[in-house]
Amino acid sequence: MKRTWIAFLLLGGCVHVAPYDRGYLARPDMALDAGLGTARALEKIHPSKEAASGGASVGGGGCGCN
Amino acid sequence: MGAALALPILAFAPRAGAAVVGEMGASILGYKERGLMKATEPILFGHAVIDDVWEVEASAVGDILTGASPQFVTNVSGRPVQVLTGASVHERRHAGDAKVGRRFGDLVISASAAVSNEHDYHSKAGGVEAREDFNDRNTTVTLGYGRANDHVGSAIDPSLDQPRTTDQWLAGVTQVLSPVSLVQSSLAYSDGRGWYNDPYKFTLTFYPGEELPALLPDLRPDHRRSFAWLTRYRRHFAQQQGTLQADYRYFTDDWGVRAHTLEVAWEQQLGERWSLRPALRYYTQAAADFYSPVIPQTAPRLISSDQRLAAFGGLSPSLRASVRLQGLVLEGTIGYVHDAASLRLGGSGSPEFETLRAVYGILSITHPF
Amino acid sequence: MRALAFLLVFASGGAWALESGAPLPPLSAPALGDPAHKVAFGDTKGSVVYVDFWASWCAPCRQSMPLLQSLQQRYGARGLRVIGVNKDVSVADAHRFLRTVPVDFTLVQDAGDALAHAFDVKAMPSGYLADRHGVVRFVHRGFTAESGAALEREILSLLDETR
Repeated sequence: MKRTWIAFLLLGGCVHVAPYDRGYLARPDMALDAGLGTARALEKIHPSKEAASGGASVGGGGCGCN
Repeated sequence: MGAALALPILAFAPRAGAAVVGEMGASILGYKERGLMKATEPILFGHAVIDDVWEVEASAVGDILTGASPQFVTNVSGRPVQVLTGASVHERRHAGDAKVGRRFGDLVISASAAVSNEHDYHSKAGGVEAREDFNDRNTTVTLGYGRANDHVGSAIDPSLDQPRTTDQWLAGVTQVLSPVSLVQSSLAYSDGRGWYNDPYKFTLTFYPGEELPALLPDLRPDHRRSFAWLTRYRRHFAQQQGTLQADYRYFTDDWGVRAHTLEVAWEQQLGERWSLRPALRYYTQAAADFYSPVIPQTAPRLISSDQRLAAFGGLSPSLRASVRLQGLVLEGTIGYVHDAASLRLGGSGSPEFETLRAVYGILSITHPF
Repeated sequence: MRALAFLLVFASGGAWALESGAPLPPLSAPALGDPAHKVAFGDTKGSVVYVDFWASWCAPCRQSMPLLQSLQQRYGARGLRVIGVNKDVSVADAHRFLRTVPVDFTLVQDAGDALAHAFDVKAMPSGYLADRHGVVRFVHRGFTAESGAALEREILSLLDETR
């Protein structure tokens, strides 16, 4: 687990997409969550029937503007 | 309720000459389980970034549940089955949440609060989060902490008023992999103590040759520690105008539950306005250590026949369509949920698990600004 | 862990930045939607030039573009020249955006990233304000209501400069 984390942070040094090349990353279908309303609705469906829960969205990606 | 908090902020900011970018909208969820429950949920939400310094987000959800709820698991017929008590349930639930964050260069610090109320359950939660961008926003690291205080009551036992406190820690990394792909991985650790028993669930077991059956209420541990590891991958294919979306979550806790969730979707752009997203979600879980549909001869300290804690698997296909109109985005989702013992990965699902078949639909209308 | 991340940031980036005092790069770019027509930055001497890098996918550009249009209209006669550099991969996306946010200042396309590299664009949107001698005097990274107001003050000060 710890090795995966180090790999992620090291990736930060190798990968660099310039701020002006983020057109595709800014697409709505590249978002890590569904739209807020749909996401809230989906939270209601599965966790009420399953024992597992959690795993939250933590930001990042997108157009990276400003 | 939460949305009501956000609206004054969204109304004030443009008058102050600030640049507000965001969206607000409403959704409705309809859910029907075969022969059982029906739920309708209106949702209001909004989020905005004000002058690139303040971030606000809020939502409010109402649940209207009708139908019967399983309460007894009894083996009077020879094998354990769920029995509905016949009493019709008509429940209303209200929940709201709000989050406010402030940017300091590449760092955003946020605070959030959430409440949930129904006649027999109350929950209040608060949290803080720090999110920082590195390497020209190619890497984003998030750390968060939250605490929830719940109170569990019972409509059939008015004297019940038990607390439960849960601490949760979250750490996540989002990494851009290329101009067309990115990955996010996050770990959530949860430590809860207090009342976990479901006040409406009982197990009734008849023993061959004995006249009197054994009856026990739901008896769960007074603590629960869990890990959830969620990884999400997005990859856009420019030539096909489509995006591959894959999410995997591993869950484990000290009740013995281990679960895997995998959802794979393809979002296909159709022209300038439409997109279609078929998806398939697979779920598999191992039963909790104290799950049992029958009471053993020597009465155990812990037992629950709640099939949420059984061993089973589930397949859920869904289809989402979105259309972007002038100043409005409409999004509709339909899905089917099929949970069964036979779908458990590797077999050996709980044999008495009653197959769940449910269908749901979500309609969202959003106004971006 | 954070120390490691910081080291990587310094090792990976930190290229030279086009800051105040540098001359406008002597490059030319094809006009948006009319690639045969070239716009050369060298031809702008005598005007106060604002070079703005924008794209249809850049959310703050929905606010910055109307502001730039207003500045061009009000100060064009006094010598302000706004040049918008589009960073969309597909020209169709740029045109779709312009239908909702129409502008009539000069627009060019930077398909090969030559301009983005020359200006060392570090954020979207990015703006470079040059005086009548073609020397970059102010750099704007990102856009807020505050930065828009500051830009207007800077443009006025450069328009008023006599030497």
